[in-house]
Amino acid sequence: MPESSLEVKDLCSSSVECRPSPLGQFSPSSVPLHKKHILATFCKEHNVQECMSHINQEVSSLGLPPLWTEPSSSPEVNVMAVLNCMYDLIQLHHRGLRTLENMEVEQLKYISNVDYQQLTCTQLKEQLELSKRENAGLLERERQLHLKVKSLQNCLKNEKDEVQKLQNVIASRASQYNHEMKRKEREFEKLKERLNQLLVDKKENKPAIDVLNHIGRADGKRSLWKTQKTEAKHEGEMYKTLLSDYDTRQREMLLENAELKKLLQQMEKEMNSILRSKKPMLKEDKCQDDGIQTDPEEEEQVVDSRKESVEHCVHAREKLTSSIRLQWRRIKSHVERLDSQAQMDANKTDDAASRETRVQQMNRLKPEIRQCKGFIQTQQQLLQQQLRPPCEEEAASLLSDCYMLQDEERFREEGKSVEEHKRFFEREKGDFTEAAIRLSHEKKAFEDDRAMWLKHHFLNLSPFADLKKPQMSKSKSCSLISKAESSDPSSPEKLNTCGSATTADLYDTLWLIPDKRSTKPKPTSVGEPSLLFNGSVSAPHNQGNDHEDNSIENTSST
Amino acid sequence: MLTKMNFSEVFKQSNQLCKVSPDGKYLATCVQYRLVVRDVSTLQILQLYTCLDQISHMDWSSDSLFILCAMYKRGLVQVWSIEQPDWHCKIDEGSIGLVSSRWSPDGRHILNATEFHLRVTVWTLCTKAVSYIKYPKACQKGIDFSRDGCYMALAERRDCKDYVSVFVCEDWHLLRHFETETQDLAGLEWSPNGCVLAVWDSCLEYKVLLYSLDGRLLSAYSAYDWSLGVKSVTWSPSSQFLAIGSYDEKVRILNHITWKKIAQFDHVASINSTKAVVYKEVEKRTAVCSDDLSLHNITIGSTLFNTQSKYEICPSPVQIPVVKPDPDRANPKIGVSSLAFSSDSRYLATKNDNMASVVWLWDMQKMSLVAVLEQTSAVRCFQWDPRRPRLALCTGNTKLYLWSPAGCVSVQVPTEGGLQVQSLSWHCSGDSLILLGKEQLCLCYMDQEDKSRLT
Repeated sequence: MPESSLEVKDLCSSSVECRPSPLGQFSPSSVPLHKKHILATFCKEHNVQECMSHINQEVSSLGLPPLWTEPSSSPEVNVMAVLNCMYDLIQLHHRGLRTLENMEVEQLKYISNVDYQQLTCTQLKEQLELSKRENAGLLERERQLHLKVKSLQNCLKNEKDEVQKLQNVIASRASQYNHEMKRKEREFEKLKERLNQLLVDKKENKPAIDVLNHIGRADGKRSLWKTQKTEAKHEGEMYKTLLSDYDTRQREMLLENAELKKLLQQMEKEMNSILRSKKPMLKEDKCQDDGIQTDPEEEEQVVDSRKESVEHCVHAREKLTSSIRLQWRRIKSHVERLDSQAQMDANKTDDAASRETRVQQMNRLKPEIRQCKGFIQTQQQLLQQQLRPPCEEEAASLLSDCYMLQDEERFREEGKSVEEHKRFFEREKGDFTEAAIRLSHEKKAFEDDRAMWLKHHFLNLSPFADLKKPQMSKSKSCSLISKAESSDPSSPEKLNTCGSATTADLYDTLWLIPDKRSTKPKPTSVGEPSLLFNGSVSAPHNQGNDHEDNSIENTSST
Repeated sequence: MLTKMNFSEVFKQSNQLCKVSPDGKYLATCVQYRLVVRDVSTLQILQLYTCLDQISHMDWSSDSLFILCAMYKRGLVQVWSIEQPDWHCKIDEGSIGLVSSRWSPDGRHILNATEFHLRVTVWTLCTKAVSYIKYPKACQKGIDFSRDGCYMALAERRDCKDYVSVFVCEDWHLLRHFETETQDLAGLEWSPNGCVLAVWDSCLEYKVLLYSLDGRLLSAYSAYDWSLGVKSVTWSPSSQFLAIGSYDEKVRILNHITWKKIAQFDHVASINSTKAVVYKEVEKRTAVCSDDLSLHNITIGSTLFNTQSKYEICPSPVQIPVVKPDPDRANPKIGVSSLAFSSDSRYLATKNDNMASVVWLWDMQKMSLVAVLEQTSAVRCFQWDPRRPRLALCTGNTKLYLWSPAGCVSVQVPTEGGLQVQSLSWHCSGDSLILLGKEQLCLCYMDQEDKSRLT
């Protein structure tokens, strides 16, 4: 309602503002229209004309025909026109009110719509929250069910595997049973057949033994009748064997027990000694207080157990084992502590550790250094004093210099001579090596020539010598003979005596050819003719044989 | 381990019947119906005996004076004397048939099992007396003599129940007769000290029972239920351990003090142990080049075409070839079927049937795997040297393999015609090996050289 009045007021105020009315001192907007006091003060006797023109303007602006024309100055008013105008105005007003009402209604409608929408919105939000929670719950349930399904599937698989395994077992057992059944049935059949055969067969061959002469018993004794005494004897012997077996076993176990006990005692002693040596270090630790207190007790226990010479006493054994366990635990904890300490030290920065060590070292070394410095100084002083007692400083320095020069020259000369010697020795070494090489070449050439000569000689000795003429150059033979004469005095004798070709000589000469150093090894197996094979696993003998074979073949094949 | 090995020439034998006398002096072989006795060191034929039929089984008596030859088809047993070749003895079982024949420990009695195991007849060579034992059980190992030869344990079955009878071998006096808690007794074995008898059930139930000599049950051991159980059992020579090999590919070791399991050895397909050495046999084919066909090589014969092989050490982890057995067949080829302790009880050699080409060696002091030998084909036989910790094995080819803690070696058996080594056995002195092929045999003499002489 207030808005509609405001709109009307606006209309009024706007019309008043664009055409300033003569009645400016009061604003009609402050006066509500629905109030019954009419704007009587608008038109007075002195401003009729203006009022009329004003009203005319207003009416024309509203779209209505003007009430009167301007030029007529008569203030007579066309009553019809005025009434029409008033009627139109009233109509306009009604129309305006109606639209106002409509708009108010519409506004109400809109407001209620908006409220309704908000309500529905909040409701939907709540519903959404609820459904989201439900969804989460359902998802969780689904996940759990999935897991359950998986586990059940695993169980099923396991069960299936087991069933399969059992089926396999059953199958194998069944086949085994069938096999046994068939075997028994076959044997039964054979038995039946045999029985039939025996029933039919008239002559029955009784089992019999036919010995030429009876032989004595293995142990030479006569066999005894079976009497109660012999039975008792057998029983007795049986029990004797059993008892002796148990005896030996018990003895073995006693020995083993004694050894193990000794071992345990030794271990205990050693552990004790280790723990005692660690005691001063352990005193710092709080947790070792208990240990230290109980240590004297332990020692007593240990001594007790050692004193008890009755080895099989259960208490002694228990004491021993419990004390060993306790000490072992202590040693273990100690070692673990050491390990952790070592780790912690390793984790600390290097500087700290090195700083510590450096500080320590420095503290140790500083006084030493001071001492040494003092010694050096005193020694220097003494030296200097000795060096220049009588002379002045300059003379002393000159003399010292010239001594040095003399020594220097001497050393230089000696160095030169040494170098000369060195060069000379190296030259000689080179010469010697060259000579040695030349000598070896010559030796080789000589040996070859000798071999050739002897070979030809040997060939000449054989009955088939006429077929093959030795193809030897005279020069070579001469050189061979001369060399033989010069280097090896023994060989010419052998060559000369080769005219009477005995196999012994032949073998001798042959052995001389390949290598004087190698000696013929004895045949590896007596009675085995072949050299290449004897199934032997040992390798070296075979190799030796092969080498021998090759060498012989080489000389004989050409 | 450097030994010199000399191989003898190849002799004929039949039925893998070839045994050295207990005193180590003679070697007896059977060729069809002949029994040939040779001197072990010279292999000269000392005696030759002729039996009435093809010999099915042959065995020496404990004093090395007699040999029994059993002919199962004819139901005959003939006994020959080494000292007196003219002496003869013939046991005819007649219509009752003969299924197995063996000596008693004193070498003067022969135990024959009749057909269908109706009874065991005890014949004696000293007198005319005959003893019968009724209801013996036909099983994997139903009879065992203690090592000192004093007692014999026999498995019996009466009224669907298993019994064990303990006899005194001296006069066949029945010492003890007790029922065993087995469903179906499969075998029994005396401990080497003769005081404990191990009895085990068939593979359908895992059960190992230990009885004292006087018949008291000392302990019962069962590792698991339902699956196939015990496949093989063996005592350690010191009687300290009992090794049980089972179908689950594991070996369990029981100790003689508490009779509880102290160790379990698994035969895994993938070996990750860093302490075990895995030897793998690798074949290297020798290429036949034309230059090498000299006369010398051709006289060697088929060795030219034999492949050489050597052992290589494989770094871990090593994969072992596994063959899955047919699940529908009975007695599947899975599980530990062979167990053998070395003579000093220090090592245990085992073979798992679904890893047939692999031999596993376990150290009994550390109770862990010490070596694995992987061969190129299935291992047929392995046996420990009776004197030292040395294992010999063969895989059916022409090679002999030896393992000792120092190492492993593969030796080609040099024979003309190629002897396929099917089984082997050591001489009691540990100095020689008898290699048996299908129809041949060969001796391998080993000389232990002093280590000081070798470089």
